[in-house]
Amino acid sequence: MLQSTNLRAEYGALVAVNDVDIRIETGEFATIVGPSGCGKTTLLRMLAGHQAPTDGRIELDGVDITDAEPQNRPTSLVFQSWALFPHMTVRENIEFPMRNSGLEVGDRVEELLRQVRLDPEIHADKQATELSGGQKQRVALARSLAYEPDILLLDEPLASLDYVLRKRLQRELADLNEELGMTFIYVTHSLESALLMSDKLFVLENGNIIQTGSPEDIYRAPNTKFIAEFMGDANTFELDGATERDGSYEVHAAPFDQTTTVPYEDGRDTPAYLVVRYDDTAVGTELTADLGLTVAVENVLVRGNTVLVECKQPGDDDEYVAEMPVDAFRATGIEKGDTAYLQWNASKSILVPE
Amino acid sequence: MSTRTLSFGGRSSGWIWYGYVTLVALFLMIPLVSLVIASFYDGRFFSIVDYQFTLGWYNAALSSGSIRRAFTNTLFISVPVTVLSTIIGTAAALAYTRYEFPYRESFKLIALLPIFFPLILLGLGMSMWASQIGLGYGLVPSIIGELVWISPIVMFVVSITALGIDPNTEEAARDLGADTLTLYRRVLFPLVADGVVSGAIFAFVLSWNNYYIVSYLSGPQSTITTWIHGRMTQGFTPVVPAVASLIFYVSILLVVGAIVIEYRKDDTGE
Repeated sequence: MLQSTNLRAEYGALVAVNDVDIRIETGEFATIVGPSGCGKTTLLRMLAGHQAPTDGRIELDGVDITDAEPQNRPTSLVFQSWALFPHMTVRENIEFPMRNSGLEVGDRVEELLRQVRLDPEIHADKQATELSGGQKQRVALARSLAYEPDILLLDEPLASLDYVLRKRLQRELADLNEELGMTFIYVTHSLESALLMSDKLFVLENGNIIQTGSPEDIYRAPNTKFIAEFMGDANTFELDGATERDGSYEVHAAPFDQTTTVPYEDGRDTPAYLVVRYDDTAVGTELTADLGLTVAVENVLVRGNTVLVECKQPGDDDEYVAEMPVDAFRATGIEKGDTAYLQWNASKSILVPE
Repeated sequence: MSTRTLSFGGRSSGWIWYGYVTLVALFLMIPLVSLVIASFYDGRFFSIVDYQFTLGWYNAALSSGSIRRAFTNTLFISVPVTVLSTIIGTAAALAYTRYEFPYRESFKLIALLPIFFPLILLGLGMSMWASQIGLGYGLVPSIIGELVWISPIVMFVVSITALGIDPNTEEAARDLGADTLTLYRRVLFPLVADGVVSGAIFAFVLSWNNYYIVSYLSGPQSTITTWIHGRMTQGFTPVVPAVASLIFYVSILLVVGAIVIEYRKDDTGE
């Protein structure tokens, strides 16, 4: 188990990581997710030992590793730039950590390459500079695994790869985590990576962990408007009335006429926003769902098998979006410029505090 | 190193371009070429109309004791300067490019300053100091003096290579269990090696050709450049072009060597 207590990083007056407590069980795939500049990379670098914390402790299985040098702690970091040694072959890159820690080389290089889905016959003796982006990423992963770390740290290593390759490698990383039983800590600003691979999410904003939980929990019950919007494209309505009633809240917002009752977890601040995701929202000529508002359709964007319908209320700048299957949208007969109902069912509403 | 180059357009503009380049090249090469031609000319005063070839001046140069001594002295300065300035310059380049420390930019400016200082003034200053601190004049003061000027140049050359290395390289090596020795021996030095070789070649050529610093600091010891200068003040003799050409051959050999290294690197796909 990896645990940080009051972990803090300051750059002069700037607090990059603000007294962060995290707890990651052995074998877990944990993801630290947040927008650029939220302190996630600083946090990861402190876990790897490349940056000394201003304050706080890091413990691995009860042992304090706060001040251990990177070469003396059982973590290995896969860099965003991969940082392969360009003057070495693939084999030499992978043997490097093994030789440093006195591990038996034997057939390990071939074994590791197969583990990251590279054919050793073809790739082992290539120069590191001859590889494509995806191959470099795989070799960087194999090289880190060759170190046999207890914890593998990954700093957005998929960010610069194309969409298809990224998808495939995300799956492979999740499989590898399961196969090896090794703890993976992944840092990303990308929601799709976070949701797809992780057992546990830490959402970081301005150096603070603002929510921890499984991807599903956070997706269903975001703690703040920021997380709700960050976790998925969503329409947000500022509430102008919220009354508690048996563990639920009766709420109202100016753009729609109806009031609605939405369940809300106890012990949180009074809800301030109602959030509904684009793909839970539809447009129609009639109001058939529980909640809705009259809008003018401003734009229709086809995105593969769904359409994004961009709408506005007259005299209001806020834009609302409904994401619907193409066929369902065609069936409504609505076109750009028409007036329609933007609507959704009450159960799809999510309340979040300020 | 794959750099994309612009190609110069149509046929006529192409000819103008090549013609221009040829003229510039000729303009730059004529003094050197005429020196070499003069060094093979059999006669006291050089004339292109009635040219007669001889190796006599080279023979005279190589058999003269004072010229041989000047060559040996120059080597006694150049070799240590090459070794020491390569070490100092490489260390400074690695410090500047691969480490974070306070006043890093000021360090670079101050370290590189001697390059931009007029050599004749640098030499004068050094000469004043050499007597003040009791260092005196001779080969050792010349070595020290040249180090002041050449080490920054090596630093500059090595920095160009070192800046091209992925900034995460050291951290990756540490992360994979490398101690400081392994980091330098297996990762950092191999990666800057090309820059270090270029820097060393630069250092040797600059030291080999140096006049101003040694003219102030070498005292009674003459080097090739001070010998040429001294000889010229006594009036021209055809041995001078031969000696000058000898310096030039050594330099050109090293430059060609550097180019060969560069090309070989390109061939291996780096």
